[in-house]
Amino acid sequence: MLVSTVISNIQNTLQTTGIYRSTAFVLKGINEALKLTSYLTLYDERKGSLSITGSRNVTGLPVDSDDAPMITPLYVANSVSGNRVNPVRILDLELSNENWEGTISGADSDSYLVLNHVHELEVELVCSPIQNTGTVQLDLVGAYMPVDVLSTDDISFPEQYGEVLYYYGLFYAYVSIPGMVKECLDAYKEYVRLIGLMAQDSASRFPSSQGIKPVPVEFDYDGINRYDMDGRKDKAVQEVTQGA
Amino acid sequence: MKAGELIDEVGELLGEDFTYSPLWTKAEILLDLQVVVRMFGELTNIVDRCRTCLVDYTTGEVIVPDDFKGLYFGQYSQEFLDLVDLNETEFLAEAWIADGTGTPQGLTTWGSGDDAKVRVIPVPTTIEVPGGGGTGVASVLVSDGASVWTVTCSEGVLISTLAGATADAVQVVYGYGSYWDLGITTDGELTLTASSSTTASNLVLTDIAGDGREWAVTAELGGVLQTDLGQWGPGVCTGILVSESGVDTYQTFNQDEGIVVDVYATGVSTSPEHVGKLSDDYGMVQYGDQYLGEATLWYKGLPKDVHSLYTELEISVGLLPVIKHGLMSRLLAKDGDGQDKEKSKLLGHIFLSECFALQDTFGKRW
Repeated sequence: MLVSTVISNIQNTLQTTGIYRSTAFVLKGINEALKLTSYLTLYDERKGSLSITGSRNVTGLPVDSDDAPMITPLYVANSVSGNRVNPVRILDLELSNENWEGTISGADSDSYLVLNHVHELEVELVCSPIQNTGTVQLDLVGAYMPVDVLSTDDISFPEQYGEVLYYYGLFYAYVSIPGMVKECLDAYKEYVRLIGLMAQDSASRFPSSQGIKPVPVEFDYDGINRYDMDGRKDKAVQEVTQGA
Repeated sequence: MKAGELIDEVGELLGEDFTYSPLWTKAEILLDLQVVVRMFGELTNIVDRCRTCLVDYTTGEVIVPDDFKGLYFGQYSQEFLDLVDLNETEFLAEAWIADGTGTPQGLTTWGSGDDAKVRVIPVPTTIEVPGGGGTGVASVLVSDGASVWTVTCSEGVLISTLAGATADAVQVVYGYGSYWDLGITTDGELTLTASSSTTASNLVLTDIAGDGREWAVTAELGGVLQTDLGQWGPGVCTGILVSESGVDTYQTFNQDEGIVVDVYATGVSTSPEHVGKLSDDYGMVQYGDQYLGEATLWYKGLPKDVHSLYTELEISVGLLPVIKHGLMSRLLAKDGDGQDKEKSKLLGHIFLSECFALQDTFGKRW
């Protein structure tokens, strides 16, 4: 999918390419959409690997060759044996391996948890036990956050959900225009509807209840907004009427 | 991304260039950003922390970090302790509240915010001596040209009192690439003036409370004095090493992005004997396991507070749109020409929806 096509579609809908609707401005909205959507749907799944040297239970997550950081692992396994490492609660680490922190053993890692998703550079993989026979090698399938795209790029985004970027880009533009609440709402509603489907798609690939799965954004604003808008309209009509 | 950069982006969206008669000033947006970042932390529950903390040797209370929100795992002297609620503490030790000493059996917690307490039960018999191994000094003597003042630190607040002794050598304070000489006026007000020195004194003051907390005295941009609470650990730390996430190469620590992975007593090692002391820590410290007589708390935390336009927002760029939605919601609600209540309400709703979705996805611990 060409980014330039998405930009053109947005600009055509906005019927302008002027200031705040320039290619650079719309591109910012698309990049924002890509990154936010990666957190809300975990759609950008890739395979990565990790080496843990020394008796370190806690380590950062890998970065892909294009500098895209992993934001959360979805499946973890020991590289050599292929044995799965299972997601657990922090207390389960203690129950399965007393005094687990800093304790090393010759066995593969069997449990992990992920902490601190607030920043891709601070998210931590905590696993236990840790091998003393060499470097722990893990293979992971994880959700990544894509890097910024350029208007000339051909991006990797699920084709069937291509309109996600279009609708968020529209929403981004409408936010910057005074008024236009209805247009904002319509664009965001469509964006949320589509990322809800994306999240369901991602979640359905991991049917067990283990690990992290995306939860669709629940956005229900129609009632309140229509009520308010109608109320304001009535009031305006009333004022005009009374004034007359 | 720094707070100022985010504010510029929001300004662009609102059509605000912050020049002539702005509808919103950067200062007021900064205050709203502070609130939104805290709300984001509360609503998403995705900030986790692990810290090694001192235990008060008289009360058994752990000195909790200031970004503490709720405990979910605690250790003392490398041993896991049961986390029990207040009503079950007597199963751990009868009359625990009377501060009897013994071998720690569990932890309990009460209070919230700055008043949150974590109590080791019973009070450990062996405890790290407060201040032991730290690099801080109790006070520093500064001359105003005529008199000499003693400068101490309490809860991060610098206190100057007339002393009448001989002044110490001029302290050089570092911050944001510049060096400042610490001085004092005849009224006892501490001052910073641009220094000709390019070597900082690394001034660290031990809290006068006697609980072992240490405060690094540094400068904000423009030469404004500030104190940072150091994460305390025994041993003298001579270097802090960081690694880019996922890249196992070390580099000298600098206050940009990146996470602190190892803090060693000396040199590079994979089996440190001590944890170190950080004056401004980023993220989770990854290697705080080799300690005795102290507690390690794994807890739900709050995002780093926003103090100035130059504060680094420790929030992923993928999550910053959520912050933007919340921030614009607040700005558009303000009285004035820029007010747009309907859009404010819509963006507020969007902010909440996104926060709840993030909490549902990432905030749980299975």
